[in-house]
Amino acid sequence: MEEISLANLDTNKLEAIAQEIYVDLIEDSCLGFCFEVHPAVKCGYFYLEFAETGSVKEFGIQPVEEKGACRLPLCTLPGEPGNRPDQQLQC
Amino acid sequence: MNKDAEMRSAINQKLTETGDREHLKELRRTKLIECGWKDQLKAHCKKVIIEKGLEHATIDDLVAEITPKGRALVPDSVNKELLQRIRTFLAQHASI
Repeated sequence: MEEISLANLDTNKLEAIAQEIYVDLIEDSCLGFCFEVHPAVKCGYFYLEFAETGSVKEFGIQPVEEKGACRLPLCTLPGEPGNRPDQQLQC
Repeated sequence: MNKDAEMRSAINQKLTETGDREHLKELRRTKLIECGWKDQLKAHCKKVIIEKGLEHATIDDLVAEITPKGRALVPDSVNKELLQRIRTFLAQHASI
């Protein structure tokens, strides 16, 4: 392949090439960001980023603390014992 | 392939061969994190996902909404620095 000389190009053309390379870099960042976020959203851990700021509810997800006491009889999650249904294990 | 396309292809190849493309990507990544671009884009992403719904947000939706915002959020200083580096590369490789 014959050598190509950029020295003969005018400033505008060189600048246009520089801009193209720059735009390519930025688009690459944006797409990379989308490809990071999309699986995080689909696998359900994107909203965890916002859990500490208390904005999980905005995604329509109820925080665990507000779900109330667990009703399972042997569950160790906090809650009033009276809330638990009377169930006896049958062996 | 016309001369312009040939030239662009040669430049891109040179960028990759010399490792400058990777250096530029690393510089870009560092600068965008430092200036809070990623955080701002995450916040915008959150709005988009809430609007579309967690289960309905497709990759196309994200690309359509996030790419223009991402471009607009790049600070001038980062823009200038990256462009300067690219111009330096082009000046250093006057013949490809």
